[in-house]
Amino acid sequence: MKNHRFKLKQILFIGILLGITTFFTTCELEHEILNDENALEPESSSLKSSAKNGCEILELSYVIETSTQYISDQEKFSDIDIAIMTPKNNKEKISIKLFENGQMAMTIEKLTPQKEIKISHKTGPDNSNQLYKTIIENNRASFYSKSGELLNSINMELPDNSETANRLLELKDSCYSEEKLNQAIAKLQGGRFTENMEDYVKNAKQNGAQIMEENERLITIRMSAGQLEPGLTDEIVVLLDKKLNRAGGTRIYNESGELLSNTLFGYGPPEKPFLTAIKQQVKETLPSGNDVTVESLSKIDNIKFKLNI
Amino acid sequence: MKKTYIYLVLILLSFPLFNLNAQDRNVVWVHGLGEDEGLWEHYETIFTQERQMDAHRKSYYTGHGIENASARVISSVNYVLGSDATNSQNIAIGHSMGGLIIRDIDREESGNEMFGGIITVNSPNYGAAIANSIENGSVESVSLDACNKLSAGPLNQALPLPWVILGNLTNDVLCNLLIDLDPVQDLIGYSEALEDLSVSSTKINEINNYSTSTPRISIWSAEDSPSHWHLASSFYSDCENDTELVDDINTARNAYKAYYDYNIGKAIANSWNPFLSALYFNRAAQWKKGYDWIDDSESIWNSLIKTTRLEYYTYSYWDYRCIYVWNEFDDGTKQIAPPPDECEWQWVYVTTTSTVSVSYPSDGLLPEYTQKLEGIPGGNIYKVTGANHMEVTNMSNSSQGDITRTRFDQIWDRQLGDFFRTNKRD
Repeated sequence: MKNHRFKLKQILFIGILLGITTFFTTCELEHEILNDENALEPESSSLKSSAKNGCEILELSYVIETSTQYISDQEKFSDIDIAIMTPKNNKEKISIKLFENGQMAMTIEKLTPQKEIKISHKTGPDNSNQLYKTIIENNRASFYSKSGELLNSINMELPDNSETANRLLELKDSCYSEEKLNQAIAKLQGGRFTENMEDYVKNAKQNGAQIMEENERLITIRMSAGQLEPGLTDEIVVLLDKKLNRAGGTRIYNESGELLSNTLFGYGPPEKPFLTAIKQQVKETLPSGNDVTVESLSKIDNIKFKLNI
Repeated sequence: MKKTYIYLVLILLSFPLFNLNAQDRNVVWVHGLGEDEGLWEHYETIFTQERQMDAHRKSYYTGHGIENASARVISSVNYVLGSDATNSQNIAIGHSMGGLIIRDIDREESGNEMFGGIITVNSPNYGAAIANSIENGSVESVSLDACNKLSAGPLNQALPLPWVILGNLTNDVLCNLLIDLDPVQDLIGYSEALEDLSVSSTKINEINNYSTSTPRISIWSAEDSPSHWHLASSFYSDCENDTELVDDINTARNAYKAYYDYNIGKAIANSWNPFLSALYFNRAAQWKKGYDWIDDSESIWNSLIKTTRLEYYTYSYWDYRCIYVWNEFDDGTKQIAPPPDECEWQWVYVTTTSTVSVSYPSDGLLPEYTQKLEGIPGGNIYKVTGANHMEVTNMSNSSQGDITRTRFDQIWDRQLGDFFRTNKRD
């Protein structure tokens, strides 16, 4: 068992620090639902049988509602600035599938937020066909109206995930028994990417990461994005919570040290500590020259993660 | 004898024709900035055939401003109509800047009026705010902002720039669509016209300060949303199709959104690896800039043409307070903390009020308030719905029918004795 755990960690650290895979490739990764456990069982069974036929090996779905607001210390803005700073919200149901051959498919279905932000413009109606569903498969995105009419489709080149798929398929033999896979229901983030933060940090340092700051509770680690994807020059900083063994947030800086985006996470209560909120902050300079922070807060519901190998 | 009879019949037959020509009134069709005589061809052809009117439709150079263009129109009308140039039954119809030109002629020729009545169509009677926005650099800065935002996603996704969204539409083309519009380019290219057409310009004030007794009619149009893309469609398709670009830009928007959702999905799926997850979250943020810009572009454009008002808006949004805090301030201080243990762990609806930009009717280029002449009876104002600044001059391809033609027919059919009433040909 001890040897088994060591093996798991090895796989994990290679994946994290060298960026070998891009998708779901750890034995520690949970493969079940988070917020709505009861709803999953029947779907899980059907997926299992389809996987045996060589279909999906992984499915992730969730409902995401994002509201966007603009924050600034300034009190006066030009009319154009205010037009840009229009608050907005939108809600979608997202389903992602990874197939055995590395192909990925994604469906984005538009939902109506409970309290929609809709400014009453006095202009004439927009009679154009509105997007209801987007289906991405075979490197093509197709857009559909609510009546199911195909509005348009475009090439959408996505990275090949066959290596990920292969690794996932290998996991079954190298890490988990099917029984263990089925039992492994856990949180999306907590207690996963590390069971031992000290080891994690130690290994991160050995792989080129730099500890920026550390106190009793939190630690920030910096790494060049080039270590994950060759050619990238950005710097990534992550904030880790040592007490709860999870990430609190991430930041990306460009090579000039300018902060590009700041992403913060929110989790559920201790008894159900799943990822439930993503807050993104991006600094923007408006046409007037005023600086503003664009803040998007995403509410994640009904997240279901099904590994079907 | 037989020959004489034939001549007699021919003479008798041609009497009504002579008589008809004698009754025809002269209608001078004047185009706007950067346009030519072809602009009014559609309606001039229809009404010259159907109504008792003769057309005078020429091209005038408009780049030297209103006064210069007025002189050219006067000269042309005098040359073509001769002694009929000051016939009190003459009507002038001017589109866009053409409306200001004929009003300026009315002012300049006071006491010896060239036109007994004036019809302005989608004219910037109180100035075109887009001219001011060009002068103060706003159009350029908005365009630059658009280009930055529309290239951020593709650049971060390592897609080659300019990124081909579909067909000929790249992120570069899309961000420059509005600045490349004919009227914007014409205004940029003709500094005298730009100065004249600005809100509160000397010329505009001069025209509006003149008190005239000439009967006037004002036609204005309101385009459906998204009015800016309908306007661009009409310009790029020569009035053939006012929705072509709308569909393409909707597709572009959907593409940006698809890339956003894809990257958010990958970030969540990779959340076991916070470094990798950070990359995808950042990519999503860059794509979001693009689709947010497309979503806001109508309000942004409407701010440039000044058909917006700032109003308070109260709305609600989900908020979650139990989020990690990670701020670094300019003075070097930091705020970094996990959510407190006693956090309530609940999403709550928060209600807030903020100032937002609300769009009001326009033809995509000119707001309602500048298209409508003040000081004329309400019955002299005609509205064309669903038409943009360009489309109003030829609505033959409009899905809702040729409303401009209907409005002109209503004008020609005004009650007996009305100056603008122009009978049908027998």
